[in-house]
Amino acid sequence: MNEREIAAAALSEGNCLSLDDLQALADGRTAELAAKHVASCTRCQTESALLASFQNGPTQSEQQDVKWIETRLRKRWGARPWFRRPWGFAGLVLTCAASLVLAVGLLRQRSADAIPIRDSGEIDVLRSDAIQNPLPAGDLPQKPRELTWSPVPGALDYEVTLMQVDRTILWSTTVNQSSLTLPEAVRTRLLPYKLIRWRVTARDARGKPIASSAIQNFRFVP
Amino acid sequence: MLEETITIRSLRVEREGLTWNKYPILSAMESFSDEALVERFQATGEQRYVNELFGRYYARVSAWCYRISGNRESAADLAQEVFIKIYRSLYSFRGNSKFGTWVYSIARNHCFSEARAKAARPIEEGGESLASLAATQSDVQDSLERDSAEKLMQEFVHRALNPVEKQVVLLHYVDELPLDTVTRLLELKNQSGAKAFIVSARRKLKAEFEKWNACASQGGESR
Repeated sequence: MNEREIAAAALSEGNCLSLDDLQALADGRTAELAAKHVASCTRCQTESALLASFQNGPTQSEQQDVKWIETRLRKRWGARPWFRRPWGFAGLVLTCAASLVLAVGLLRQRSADAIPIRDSGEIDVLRSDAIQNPLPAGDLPQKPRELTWSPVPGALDYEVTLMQVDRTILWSTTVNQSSLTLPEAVRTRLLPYKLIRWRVTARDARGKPIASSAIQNFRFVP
Repeated sequence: MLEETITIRSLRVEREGLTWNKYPILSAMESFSDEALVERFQATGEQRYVNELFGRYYARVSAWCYRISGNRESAADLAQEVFIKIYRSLYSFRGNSKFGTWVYSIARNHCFSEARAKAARPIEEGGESLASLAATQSDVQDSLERDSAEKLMQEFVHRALNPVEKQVVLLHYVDELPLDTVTRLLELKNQSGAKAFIVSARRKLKAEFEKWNACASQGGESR
């Protein structure tokens, strides 16, 4: 037996899980049997750890180098600057003209709905649509119990959505205050090192969205 | 079918005129899942879906390639090759697995192949290779069926090695990755990295073999 055969035979229990099964295990979507196999199989443990490290992205110490690589990738992927494409300068002019027409059209439509300036000279500012201070975010020493955000004037309720890293919806609910206690069933699915994305959208009395937060990320790092 | 909406983010009305905080943008793109973006691209061929999709994975693929190669120039080349492979295979993605897992499998397999191709055969710096530990026990090899030899080896490995040693042995001897790559992939913080674990694993396995051989020579199996 060569050393590769020795190591392969010794470190696998056989019937190893596929990457999809390992991902399902990481997402908490799989049977106890699979978890039991992984507990005793070095091959599956290793693959699982590598998959998790990929999904979690760069570590703190890797950030700078990864940003450099990303910049190079973005340059290479969009290597041909748009203004050098066949339609060139003429296209630039046409695009600007079209944008101008679109902007004017939208402006006129919007101004019809705009809150009028009061006679006293006071200026009304249409509310920004960004919900402020959504928490939690970043690495957390324990699983969060609560999500909070700044209240939005005129909001009747808030729709909160938790997603996995690929934006598959994990859980969604509606509350009528600017905080939310996470149910235990949801907290159970917040596995260590698993990145969770979430956002909150404020809605008015007609159910129309009036503001939303940027997508926040957090993960439980024990 | 998902609908795209053009959302005007905010508008500030001032005495002097109108100022846009942001231009009209397609806000729905952010809320599409990866699989929905792939489906959209497969249906329309429009590059913007790929741009959004790839934008979500630049950091992860870059980090992975950086851990494999150890330097950012090589990592950038590796990552570009990975994205080219992903782009060429997008039409064949059927949604049977999660898109992120699919991307990972392409990145993993490509980078592992490249790492193996670039590395020389693992050089044993002092000490014995795993194979030689068994080969010197020629009477063991002769007398045992292959299945029994494998089971015995499993027993030695599980008894003697700790989880990190097992993972290092797996990645170095089975996946044939260089030790510096293994060190980065497993985020080993000790001074010598994966090499220290290989040396320690070999020492422990040698001890197990010798113990077993001593018992076998006396007509029994060691426990």
